[in-house]
Amino acid sequence: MDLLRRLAEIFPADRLLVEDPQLVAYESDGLTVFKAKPRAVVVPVDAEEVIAVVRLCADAKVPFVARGSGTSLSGGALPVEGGIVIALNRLNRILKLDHEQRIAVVEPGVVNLHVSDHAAPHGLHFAPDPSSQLICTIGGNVAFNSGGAHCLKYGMTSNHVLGLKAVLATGELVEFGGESRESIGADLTGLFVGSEGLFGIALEITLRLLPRAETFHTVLAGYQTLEQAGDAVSRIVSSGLLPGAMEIMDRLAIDAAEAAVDAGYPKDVEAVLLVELEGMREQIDAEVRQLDQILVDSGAETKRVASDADERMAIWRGRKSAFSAVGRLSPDFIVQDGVVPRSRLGEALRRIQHMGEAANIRVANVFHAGDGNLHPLILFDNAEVGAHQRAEELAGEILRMCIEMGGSLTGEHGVGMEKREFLPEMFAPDDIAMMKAVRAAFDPHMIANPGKMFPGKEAPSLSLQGMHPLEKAGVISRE
Amino acid sequence: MLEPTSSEELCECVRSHEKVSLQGGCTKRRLAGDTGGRQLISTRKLSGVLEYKPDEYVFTALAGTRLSEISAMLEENRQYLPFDPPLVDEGATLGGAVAAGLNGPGSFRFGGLRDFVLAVRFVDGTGRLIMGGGKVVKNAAGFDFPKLMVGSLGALGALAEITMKVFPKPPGTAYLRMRCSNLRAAVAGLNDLANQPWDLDALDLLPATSELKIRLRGEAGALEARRERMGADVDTCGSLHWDERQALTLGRGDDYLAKIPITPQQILEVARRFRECVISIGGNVAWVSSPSMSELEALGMAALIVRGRSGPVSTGPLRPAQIHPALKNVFDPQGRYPGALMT
Repeated sequence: MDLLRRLAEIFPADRLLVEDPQLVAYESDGLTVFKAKPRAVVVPVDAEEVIAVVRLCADAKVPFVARGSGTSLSGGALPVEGGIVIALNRLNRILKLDHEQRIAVVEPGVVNLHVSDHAAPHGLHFAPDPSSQLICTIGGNVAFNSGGAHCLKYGMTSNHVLGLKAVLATGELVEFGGESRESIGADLTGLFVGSEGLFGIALEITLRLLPRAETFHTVLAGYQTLEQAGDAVSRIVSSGLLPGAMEIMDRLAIDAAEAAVDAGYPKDVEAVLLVELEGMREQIDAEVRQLDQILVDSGAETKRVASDADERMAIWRGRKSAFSAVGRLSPDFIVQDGVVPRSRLGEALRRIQHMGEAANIRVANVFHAGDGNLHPLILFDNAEVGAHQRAEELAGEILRMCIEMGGSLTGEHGVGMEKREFLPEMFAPDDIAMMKAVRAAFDPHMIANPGKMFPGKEAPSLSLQGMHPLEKAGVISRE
Repeated sequence: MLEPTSSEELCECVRSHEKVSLQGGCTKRRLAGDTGGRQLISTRKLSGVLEYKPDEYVFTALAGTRLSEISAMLEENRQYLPFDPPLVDEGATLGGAVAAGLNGPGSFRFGGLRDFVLAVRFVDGTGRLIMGGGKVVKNAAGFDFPKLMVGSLGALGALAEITMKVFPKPPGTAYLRMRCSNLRAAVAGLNDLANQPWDLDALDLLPATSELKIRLRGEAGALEARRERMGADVDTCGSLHWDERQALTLGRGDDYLAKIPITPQQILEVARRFRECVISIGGNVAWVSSPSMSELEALGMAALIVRGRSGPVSTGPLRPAQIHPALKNVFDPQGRYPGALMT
């Protein structure tokens, strides 16, 4: 076809993938239940090539999907059948790291953790730390407004993006924000972050760096019930402390993490609470006394304090490995990402437990307790007939509960493919109509990552009730 | 002057007039632009806190609610808005604060208003009430309309209701200063302090006296030890500077007052040109006052003119992309609202 021929004029054969075996690796992202085969994958090495592809796609009205490391848990980087995938991993340069301004200007393919690694010699770091930070890229973080374990205190990706240059789906080049933390006029940087690739592709992103805390105090407390752990979080919050992170894992998740990384988590408790205080030594000394009292009062059975940096990393390794570790317990699982008001965490967990029992499905819980962001891991075996559908139904019930409790359907994974049918349960028709109109202003031909975020027929929809017509036709598939 | 008392009445006011202009506490009136020929809608009666859950660090209030009322409510629960929104005592409202997007010195530590706004309900140019964001501290669903509204100067809609994140207020505060031999030394001192793990709550620079103003917050008993670790040249002082930042005290009555976003590298360039100049937020903003618009223009940097004789709300190289008018057209297709900075 014409588009492929024009792409071939820009890209050498090793950076224009069109053969089936080459395309397979790009058919899915972190949400492997969805698959779609692109017409081609291009691997640009600089911004000019990205701009050229987007403009060709705009001319030909062919959809494109930008992709970093493909770690999206909401199907955000799922290709569009017959569209172009723009793989951005080679745009991985840190263009500028200015320690006096405390900023980094990076290309979208830069891996999240590499920013902090490069900032570390200056005593600085990049705060957003999704669990996939070893491989996920800043471009993906920007598209989906990724979070991590430190969001209550430090916010999400959008709170650390000062400005960006992007090519919009129209081919227009834009520059929003800048290198200052202050700006003038409507905050289009803030609008762009979290737009799930529906506006265009960020080419240069200016990140805010923060001084690394002088001292960390990392505690792992064990409880006999999840409620007790949740109650401890409420007590910490109402005490006036503002920990850098508060994470809870339940028994199932602890067992999985221990089997995977042997982080030394207590084995005879039903829940662990990870609390990390950070700041200047004198301040932390005072906070530790307060925290210790709260942990005693809330009935903590065990308490382990990281005595050095290695032990701290071990405790965090247990938490950050939890998702992949659960893979050892079950051949398949779904990760949910709903948010509930924090003071109703206990109630939410009880209800999830009951729903799981009623459906006879095991659910492991790992969550960001400080901000009420749940990550129930719904375990199933796809070899069992109907198991996946039952797991999806339970996931849907949990999402509806989060919305009904006044929370959100996604804290940090984004809506993507996975939760698009739920968007109307959180937003009214007028709200969604406005979002669609905004999207159309950025992308009138609907070629930038179409089929994500919004419910509807603009792209293959996978129904839970039986096979989708396109599935039957073999055009799309899930496993 | 229309004075709606509910979001629905606000919708009705917008629908029934071709050109409207919103007015809150009139503390930043100049940013509303020329209101001639426009129906004024006051949010004076669109006021009140709808929901406040201290344990969730979240409150929702109608746009016309005064920040002073909100501060008092938060104070009772030892909470606060850490970014020091200006003009609280002068009667600034929550809606005006969001539309103007001005931050005080405290945004140095945890970010500015954009980092604390969680959800908005606003009336678009066709009179529809639109919600964006979520009323919990973490949310990634849908486009981030709350952030888009920050600094939009009313061009995209009339804010009706706003949900904000709040933080626990540290029990102790220390007001400190560091006197430097000259401006260059003060800039170096600022950069050095900003990069240290001292958890400074705020860090400003007064070019006229080559002095750094520093605010620390935390456990009262630890503040003195923290100050000592910062060096022998950091000593305690009064809180006058912070009160003045709160009130945007700078320059003479009818002179222009401008907010200029900068980076620390631009401090010298700006400070050299203006006698009345305060550097705030760790070198990320210059507040300058000048009797002359041409002096502001000569700087060649984008500036928001917050106070002074009537005229354009900004000067300098603000170059809206094609997407700006396209967005304006989406939110306000009939042009009911002012169009500053969006066209």
